[in-house]
Amino acid sequence: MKNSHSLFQLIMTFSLFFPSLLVQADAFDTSLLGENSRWAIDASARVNRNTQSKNNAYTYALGLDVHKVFSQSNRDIGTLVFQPYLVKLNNVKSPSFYFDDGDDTELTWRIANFNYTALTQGKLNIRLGHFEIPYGLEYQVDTNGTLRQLTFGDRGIKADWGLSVNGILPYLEYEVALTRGSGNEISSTHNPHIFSGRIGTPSQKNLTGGLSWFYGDVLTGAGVIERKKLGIDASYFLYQWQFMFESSIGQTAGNNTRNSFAEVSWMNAKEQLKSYLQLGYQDIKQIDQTDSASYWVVGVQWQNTNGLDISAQFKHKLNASPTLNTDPNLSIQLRYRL
Amino acid sequence: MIGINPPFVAQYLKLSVLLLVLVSFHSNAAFCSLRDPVSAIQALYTQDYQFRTVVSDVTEADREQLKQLLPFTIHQSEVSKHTLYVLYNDDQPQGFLQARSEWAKWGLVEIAWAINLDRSLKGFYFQRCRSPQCNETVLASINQALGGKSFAQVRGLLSDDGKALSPQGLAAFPIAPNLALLTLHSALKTLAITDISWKKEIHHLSVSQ
Repeated sequence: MKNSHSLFQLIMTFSLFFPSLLVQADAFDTSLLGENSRWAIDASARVNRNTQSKNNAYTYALGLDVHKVFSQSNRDIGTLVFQPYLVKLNNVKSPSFYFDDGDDTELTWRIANFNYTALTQGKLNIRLGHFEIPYGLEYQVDTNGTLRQLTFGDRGIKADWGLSVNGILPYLEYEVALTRGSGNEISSTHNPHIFSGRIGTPSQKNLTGGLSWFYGDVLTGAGVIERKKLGIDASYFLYQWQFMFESSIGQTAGNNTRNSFAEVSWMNAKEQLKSYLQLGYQDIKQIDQTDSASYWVVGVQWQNTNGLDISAQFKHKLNASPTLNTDPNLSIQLRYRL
Repeated sequence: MIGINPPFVAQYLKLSVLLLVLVSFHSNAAFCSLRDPVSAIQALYTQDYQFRTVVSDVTEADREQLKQLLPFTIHQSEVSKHTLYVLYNDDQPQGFLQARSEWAKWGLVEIAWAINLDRSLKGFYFQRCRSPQCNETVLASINQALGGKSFAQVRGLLSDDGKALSPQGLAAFPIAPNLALLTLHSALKTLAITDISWKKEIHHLSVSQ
């Protein structure tokens, strides 16, 4: 509790300082970041309650979001996206391995990369830095910092340091990446690595589909885990409804796996209120048995035009097995982008 | 029933109050979700074109100025940074491209507008439209009626109060008139705000030619 009070004091200090920061925002844009730049500050507080063990875990994040396009006189050269976040945990029972413990504070990276776009004006770009692994539905939807997540948990990693080629052609979009396999950490042991990619139909259409692959050794707290995935995904918009589906086959540490995921979501006409229902299924075939598990998630997100975002989500198992289990979890998040 | 203890509620209320106190300024979606309109450029221009980004602040004063030209204006939430793309062939500017959003009864419709150097319309492309009505047939039909038209000519397709198609507009859009009305609103706002908010860039381009 002492830690959360300290954090509260830190945020209060920041909020008192912030008006003067905003007054200088225009000057900050042009003098420090130069032309064609945007920046914002992103603050959030989240509680995850395990409704079975009655444990509350808190996560606080304070980050910077910078976007800048570099241009020549007659063409763009590339785009820089820079999103460092300071994340503070409080009473988290199973933190990600790059946190020392469940009460740690760490600098984390959501997206931090430069996409060189000067080669063929969007058809072949080269991205260097920390970016989302190009795979499945997650690649098309911005779920950074939101309660709503799709299928990255199946692969054990959401974003990674590395290099990719990406582009948009008249009838398909693609990104192929070779990354470090270490997630937030740029330095790593055990020599992890991931080769991943997605080739899909144009994302602006109401009906989209894609083929993805993911091969490599992913760094975890207990060393590396070999993961292989080959997946397909599809998405369809109809007025205020969206239907999404993803399925994959592969291996985790040499054991055959299958995963499927579906989501139905609805947004109001002003696109401030979104609700969703997700279903997930996974199985893993071990030496003499196949374990399977499934879960459901229901969530709601409300955003106003001033940058406030309030969301809530509940996740519960449909069925479980000895090696695959989902604890019931209620999450609530307040987020504000300034 | 889920049990929630008082300290949990108190802690969350403190943070809620703090965040609500801070609510007074606009903001945007996370910037990693910003995408160049490459598909629109490929559809509206040939593949030999390059583009250059020009980000500008669309201000409250710009919004008020637009009100003087039209019986409607951009939404308050659009007072923020926006991007105009300048299209080049070799080193010569050929036109502009700007994407703008309009509210439909089923959500946002995002339209990318190709604009000639004289600020007449070259064409448009639905970057995002969740209605099956936004199909290739409707797109081609509305594009055919709008291609080459100036701000004044597009304005003439609307009624005086801007809430309906004029008789000329009704004749020009025999299919999907409601979608045509939405598209006309977007076209007029785009042409006007381009002249207002990117005045300096447009002047610079005309001087350099």
